[in-house]
Amino acid sequence: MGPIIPIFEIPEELNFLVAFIIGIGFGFALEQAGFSSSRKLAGMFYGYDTTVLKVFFTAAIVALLGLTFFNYFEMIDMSIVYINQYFVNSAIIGGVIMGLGFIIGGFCPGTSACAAAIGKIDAMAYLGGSLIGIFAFGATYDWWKEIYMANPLGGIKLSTSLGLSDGVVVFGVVVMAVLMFWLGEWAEKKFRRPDITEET
Amino acid sequence: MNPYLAGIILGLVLLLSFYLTGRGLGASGAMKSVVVTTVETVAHDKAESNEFFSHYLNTGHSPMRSWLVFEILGVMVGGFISGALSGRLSLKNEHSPKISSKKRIVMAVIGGALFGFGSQFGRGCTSGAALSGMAVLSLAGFVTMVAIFGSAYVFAYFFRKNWI
Amino acid sequence: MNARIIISVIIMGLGLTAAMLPNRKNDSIALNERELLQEMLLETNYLSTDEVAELLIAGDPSIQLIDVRPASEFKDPLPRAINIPLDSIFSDNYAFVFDQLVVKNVIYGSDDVRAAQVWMITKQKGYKNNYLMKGGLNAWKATILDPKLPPITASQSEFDLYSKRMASRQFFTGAKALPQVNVQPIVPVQGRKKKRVQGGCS
Repeated sequence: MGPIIPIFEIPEELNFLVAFIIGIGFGFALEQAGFSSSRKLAGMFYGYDTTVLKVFFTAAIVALLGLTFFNYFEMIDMSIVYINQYFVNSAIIGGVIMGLGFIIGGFCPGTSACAAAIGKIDAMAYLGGSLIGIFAFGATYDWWKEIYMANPLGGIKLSTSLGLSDGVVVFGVVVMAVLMFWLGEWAEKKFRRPDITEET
Repeated sequence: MNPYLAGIILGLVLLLSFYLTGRGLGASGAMKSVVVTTVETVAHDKAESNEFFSHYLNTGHSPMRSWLVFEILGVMVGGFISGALSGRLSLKNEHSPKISSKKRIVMAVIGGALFGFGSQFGRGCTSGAALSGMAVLSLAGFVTMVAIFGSAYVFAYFFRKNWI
Repeated sequence: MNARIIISVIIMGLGLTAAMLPNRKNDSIALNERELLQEMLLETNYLSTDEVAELLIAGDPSIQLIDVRPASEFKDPLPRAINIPLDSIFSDNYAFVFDQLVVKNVIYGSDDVRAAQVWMITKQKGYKNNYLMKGGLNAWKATILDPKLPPITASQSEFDLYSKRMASRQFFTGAKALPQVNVQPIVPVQGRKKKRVQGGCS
């Protein structure tokens, strides 16, 4: 039964090797999707390039459906898998700040690492900036500590908070994703900017 | 490559990560490890006294010895391989024709700083919190994702000159 | 356009299937039904009364006898046995007795009924090191405390067994006291606890 490494108590070094290999797959997929271009990423918010939406939601529903079926076929023990901890205030405030950072900088840390690897200078600047930002947070930590730790709700799942079963929520997410794909395709036709999308 | 196909590959990588290691992908944590290690080597005492940094220094081993650091190294290698295979390797500064190169770099640094700050606040970035969080149906993942993309849409209007 | 519609339908179909799946909680430590049946048939999970007698006489400190009779019936237990009644095995104090890898627990009762229940629960939860003494105290009385003389036609090995049992009987009911073995309090060394993986930003 999965997850393999925690259950069979495989040593940490092998875990790191697996992380490296998975990272290679991650970077490869990101770059093939075109996420190493900041204009492509920002295009999502102006409608001319909804690649982000398609890739993001496709990946999410593939993994989501995969985990659901693995769980059903008793191939994974979900009580060992990490579920993000929900701290209400910090999730929302952090998200808003990140959104601002995203639209100004045009990257997120994962894509910037990928873009820096193929030589994009603005991605390297972004990485440098993110190091400064993290340092700033650490140095001023005492100011934010209360907000950061406020309202811990633990590893709560969406299905629990809505009172629905896991499967129904999965279906809802899948439906929403498919709708967004159609919406994205429509927006791309409407807000066409061939001068940008054909660049990369 | 067709975005849907890339998305499927990404989704399979994510699923494999869960099945093998029980955790999803991530990125901002690796940056944090770099910062913590730098602060520790440069100003050891300051690091010890600061609650945020000391938390990651008291684990008995170097903060660089973390899953995410190895994963981000892999991301760079993977991106490089993909770029090499598709002929996209080039030293370039990408920006809209309406702004100057320098302004783009400045914007990148500011954006990076904001995102770095926000990622610590929000306990994750788009890969770790939003993508992996959604895959396990975590409420934190959904809320963070909605907050990131929602606020990016709201602020998009003010920065449109940078991109379009 | 057509390809898109087909793919959308396929995805929605998968989603609909997922919606109808029951909420299943998997446990990586507990056994499923087939594994449980295999465990029940394994002779190595049982100890006969003779084997238990041998271990007790030798003063083997690696076993711990557990008597599952209700507290009111807890009289004349086997030497150094502790009393954990069936209905209290899930209370906090006793869970670590069953879920550890230090001593071997030998479970017995007046007969096999209650003991087998406790033993099966520990097996099902995936705890190791729990054994059942077959026959319980009734078998103990019949074989060790009051062994029956085999008939003349019995084989030599049966007579050997009889004399061995007579010797044990002497040991358990006679003047000889059992050697004092220091029973250390059980320290759960490597309980098979499940831990959630650390993930996210850190």
